[in-house]
Amino acid sequence: MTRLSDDLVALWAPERLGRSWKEGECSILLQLLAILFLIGILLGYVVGRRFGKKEGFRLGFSYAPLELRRLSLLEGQCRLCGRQNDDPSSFDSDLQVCYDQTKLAAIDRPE
Amino acid sequence: MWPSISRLGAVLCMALAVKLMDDLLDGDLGRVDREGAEAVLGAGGAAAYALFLGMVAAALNTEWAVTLFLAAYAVGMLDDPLRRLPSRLPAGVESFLAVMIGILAYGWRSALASLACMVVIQALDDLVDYRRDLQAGRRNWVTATGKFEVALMTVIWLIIGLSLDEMRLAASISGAWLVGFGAARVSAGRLGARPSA
Repeated sequence: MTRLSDDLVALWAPERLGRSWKEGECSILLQLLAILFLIGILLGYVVGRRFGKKEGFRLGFSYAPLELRRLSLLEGQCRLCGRQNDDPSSFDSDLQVCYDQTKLAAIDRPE
Repeated sequence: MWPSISRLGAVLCMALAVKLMDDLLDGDLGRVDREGAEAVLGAGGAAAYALFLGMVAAALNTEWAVTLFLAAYAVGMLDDPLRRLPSRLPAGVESFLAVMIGILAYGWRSALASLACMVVIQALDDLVDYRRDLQAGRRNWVTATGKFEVALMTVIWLIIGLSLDEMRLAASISGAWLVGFGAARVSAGRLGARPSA
């Protein structure tokens, strides 16, 4: 096995200069690769989580009114104001008014 | 034999000095109920002992003591990097300056090895104290970023520390644990001795 570079050993672990490949470059390369690999995972996780949170809120805010309306229609009672389904012909439009009043879509989304 | 003992002594003295300083700063910020070093020694006593122990550590092994102290200073200031300190500099800038001084004085390997020790100790401490800090509303790396991020960062710095100077890492973590354990015992003893109201 050819030696990669004494410079790398001198830079990271000078006490290993002149040692065998296994105790010198190989172990240093493994350590540096492990560090770079984990830094990559960390960066990917941090960026992914940040974007994921934003996307989750966006999807949640667009899904919530539909789900609330579905549950309200199923239960015959508005999930937000508790209004009963006394008049089926106007219940759905009443729900719409209720949701508009709560301005669900206009709630500030956390960054 | 003597170099190892002097290094261990330097780490222990510096751990105690940093602990005293940390308790004093916490007391100043009203973050603890004054049961730390300040309650035991008084503010003046704690400051004097912190300085004295720092000097003893420097006498035993200057490189380890100075780089570890600078690293502890840099890491301690990272809680709130934008906070203006009495020097009128933001805490982040002071952190950077502390690391740079360590690099200029003892080279990047030594400064980085000490920084790794301190980051690992702080991160482990934050991971362990995460729930308590959350309840107390205290700043903590875990509450600020997340458990997985801090755990992964700890592993990365652990590898860096092991790679650069495994003795320093082992000595620092043991020293920090010993001092933390001792402080908890002293604090518990004082609380136990207090007459019940």
